[in-house]
Amino acid sequence: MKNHFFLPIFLCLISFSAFGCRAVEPEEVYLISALGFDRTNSGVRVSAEVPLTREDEADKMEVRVFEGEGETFPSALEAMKAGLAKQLEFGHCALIVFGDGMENSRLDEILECLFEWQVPLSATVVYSPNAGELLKKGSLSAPAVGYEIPDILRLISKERGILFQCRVYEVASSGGSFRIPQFLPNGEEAAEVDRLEGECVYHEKKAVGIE
Amino acid sequence: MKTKEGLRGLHEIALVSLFTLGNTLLQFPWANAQAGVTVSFLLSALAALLFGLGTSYFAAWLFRKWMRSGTKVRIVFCIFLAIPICALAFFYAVKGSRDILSFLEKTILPKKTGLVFAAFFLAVCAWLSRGPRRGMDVFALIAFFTTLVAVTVLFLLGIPQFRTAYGKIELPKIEAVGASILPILTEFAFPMAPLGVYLALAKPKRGKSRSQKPLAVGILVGGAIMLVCVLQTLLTFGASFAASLEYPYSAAVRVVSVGAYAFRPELLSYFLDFSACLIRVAVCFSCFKFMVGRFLPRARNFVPPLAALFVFITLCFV
Amino acid sequence: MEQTQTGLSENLETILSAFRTDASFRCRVFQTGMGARAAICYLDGMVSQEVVREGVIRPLMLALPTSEPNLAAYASECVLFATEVKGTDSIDTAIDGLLGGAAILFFDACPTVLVIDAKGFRSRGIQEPENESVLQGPREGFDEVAIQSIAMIRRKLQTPDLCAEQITLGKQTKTAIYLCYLRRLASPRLVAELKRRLAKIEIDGVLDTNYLNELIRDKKTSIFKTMGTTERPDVVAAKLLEGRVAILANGTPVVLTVPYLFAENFQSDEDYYVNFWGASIGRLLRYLCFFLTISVPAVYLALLTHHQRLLPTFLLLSAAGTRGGVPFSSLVECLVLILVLEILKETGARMPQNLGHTLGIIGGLVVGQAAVEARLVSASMLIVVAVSGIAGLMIPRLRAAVFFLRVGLVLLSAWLGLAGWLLGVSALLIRLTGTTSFGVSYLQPLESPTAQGMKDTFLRVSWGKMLTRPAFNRNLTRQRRKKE
Repeated sequence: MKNHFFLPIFLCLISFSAFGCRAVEPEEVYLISALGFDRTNSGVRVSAEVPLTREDEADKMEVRVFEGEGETFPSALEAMKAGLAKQLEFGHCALIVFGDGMENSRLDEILECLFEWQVPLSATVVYSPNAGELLKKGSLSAPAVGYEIPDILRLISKERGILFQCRVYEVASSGGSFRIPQFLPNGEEAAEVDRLEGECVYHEKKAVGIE
Repeated sequence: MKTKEGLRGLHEIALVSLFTLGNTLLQFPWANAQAGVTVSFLLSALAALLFGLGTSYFAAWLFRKWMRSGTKVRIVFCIFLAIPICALAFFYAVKGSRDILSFLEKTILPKKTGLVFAAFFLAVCAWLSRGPRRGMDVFALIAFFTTLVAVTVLFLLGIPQFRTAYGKIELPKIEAVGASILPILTEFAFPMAPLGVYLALAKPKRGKSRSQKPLAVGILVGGAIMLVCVLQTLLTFGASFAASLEYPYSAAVRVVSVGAYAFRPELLSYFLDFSACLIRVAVCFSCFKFMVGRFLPRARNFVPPLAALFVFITLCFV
Repeated sequence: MEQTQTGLSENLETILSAFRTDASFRCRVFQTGMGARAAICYLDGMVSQEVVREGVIRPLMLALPTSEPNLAAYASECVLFATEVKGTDSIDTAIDGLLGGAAILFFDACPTVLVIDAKGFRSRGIQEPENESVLQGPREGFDEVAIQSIAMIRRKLQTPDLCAEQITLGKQTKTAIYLCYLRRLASPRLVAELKRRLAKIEIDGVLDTNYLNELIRDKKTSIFKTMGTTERPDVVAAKLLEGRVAILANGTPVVLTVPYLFAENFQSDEDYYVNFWGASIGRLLRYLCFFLTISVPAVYLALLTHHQRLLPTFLLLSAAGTRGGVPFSSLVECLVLILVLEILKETGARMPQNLGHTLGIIGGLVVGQAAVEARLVSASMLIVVAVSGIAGLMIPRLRAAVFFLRVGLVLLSAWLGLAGWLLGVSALLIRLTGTTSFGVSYLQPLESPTAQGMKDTFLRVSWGKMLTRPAFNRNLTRQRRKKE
């Protein structure tokens, strides 16, 4: 008796609700591969690198960099979202780029944003004087800079035996004193690959120099 | 040939281990433990063991032996004792459901489907606890082995992320231990009460299968599994950072990487958390069922669905 | 119950009135050597003409005169050459015998009618069952004559312990049902319960054992099989040796065995005839395929639409690229593909063999290539559903259950993501733990796991290590063989 009662109701609920479910198809989101944080005259800027696949040629990818400016990082992100037709998906972000001036309260704000946006804790953090420029330069060996730079670091770590402790959770748990690799944009040649140029040292949430 | 008691023991160990993990695995009380987390953990395991065994022995003696004489005074006294036990079971059922719901809402549940999930989750718990004990046993056995595999695989895959610097065992300060006594009792010791009562009342009336050894072994095994999870979290994040995270073990598993072309192994941890919470809530419902069943045998089968309904209503407001 | 008359013509009139419109009814009146007239009636096609002629008519005609008052009893004991002769005073019993393939013999001035076993209808003979073929091992299969099927079992189990009790079911068909079991191995409670349930059946006709299956099983609406089916005598013999009971029915080669456990869905007939390593790999593959076939579409859908961060990045990018332009949501796409897969499978099973390759071309080209190129479905979803379908073919016994589980989990995953899939799998487990087959837990031996019990579940260990019979058999003789 109880089976006859339970089953039809269950089936109806499932059928009714399944077609009202809030699924998000993969082509309805922008997958962010890298995030950059910069200081501007009036506040801050957030840059997001997004690889896009083309409908007609699924194996070819193009990369776009979206930007948004605001007084705070959340407001900069909102400004970026306002111009976009799709949702942003942060779950595949592999690279975080700190630009100049990301210190003290700004550093705390960035880490808070990363947790709130559910950026993976294993994303790599690097430094570049201009984060947006680094992302716009593009990449040669991988579909996006966000995937290329972690690969470069992994290769260097394997070949030279260097241990980079520059992931989001390592930076967040360091108490404000950490070292992150520095990547400089290489001249004006868009084809040049960005190179690792030492490490940017942070001490008590302040950038003290490059080593 | 193994005796029936020996066979039943394996199911009990599995059930007790999963119950011990419960929703405690989601939010291990790091905040109060900090650097002395390993010592606090060992204290917690001891408290759980003592409380679980004590409740089981006491419930078996009180509700089976002492109440059997049937005098009105004894029955009324037992009813008065059953009320706080049922209240405790209800509280931990609500807590377990609330915790797994919050966790899943923040991780894998689509938006605005929380209450729907809660309804189905509680229905499944009620269904499990309403059936024969054999159903709970077999379910626990299968879930336990899957959990064991998941924890082992996640630990092994997480080794590259470990930092030995975080592995120093420090003795906590007395104040820190004092501050962590209440969380230890509420998270580890008191939840063992519904489990102890369930095992005491669900065992057959006669035979050797009333040994408490599986309960003790189960708590230790569950504690060992939790220790592995705690160690993984500790060695990945360190105690202080882990304390700042909302779901430390889940976060530790999320940083595990198997390469760019493989699925994220955190999939395995969801099954672990889900099945541990499901067992905990189902056992709480069963505790309810057996408690009511001692006094009103005919109403026994109505208790789990009613309990599920009340828990659901409570969740709507909590 | 109508009684027979003394006069021959009255009896013949009664019989003729019952079979007036039956063109196969035959009746021959003749003079016996014993001094009285007799009449033999039978249904053409049901009896062996030779038995009737040589076993009945010839000996009666050549019999010597006698003064015995009861000619029927005399003929039965001293004259007839038939193997089975029964006397009756009931016309209904005589008609039942006639309909069952017997010949009935009337004597003038004698109220007793003889029902003579002269069955001679054609049967299919021994052939290998199409749905249970093996690469190695016996290739016999039952046919539609239950008595011959019992003989095939008896050839394998040459023991007086083998019982074959008969029950008749079906008001119109009067189908003979046989319960076969080994007296010292089968549980008496199981046999009694089976008889009790069969006795409660009131039905017009039983044309196949599946009628009994659906009428006597524990949970009538369960999607899982709780009674085993087979057309192979070696399988039935093996199951009887484990303490199970077999149910045979006239008119069908399919035999039921009870109790039936979940683990039997993953056993192949060939497992016990090939090396145990190969058998174990096959077994594990089947368990894996069951999990894959019900879960892969659901998990993929959940990851694609709700948990994109859990998918590998490049797979997600590829899925996004291939899905571009597809007008349907992933859920609709998945359900449509599952439906198309089921249609193809069903059509393939029903089509004549020489049209099967056409179906393959249609299925492959149209669905596989054209639909993807036309952007009606995405390639990734097609692959996922195809993998799920192929995995499902490894476990044909769970075909119906797999379909419902697959669709149910897909709907739950579409709604609640991975949490829905977890709920569905948990509900499935709970359902399985609560299912029984004639009082035996469906998930035996997990209910009471022992080393011996598990040796024929996920793996098939060597015969040297299989010392006891399955744990569900609570009978005394559990020991299968002695340890060396």
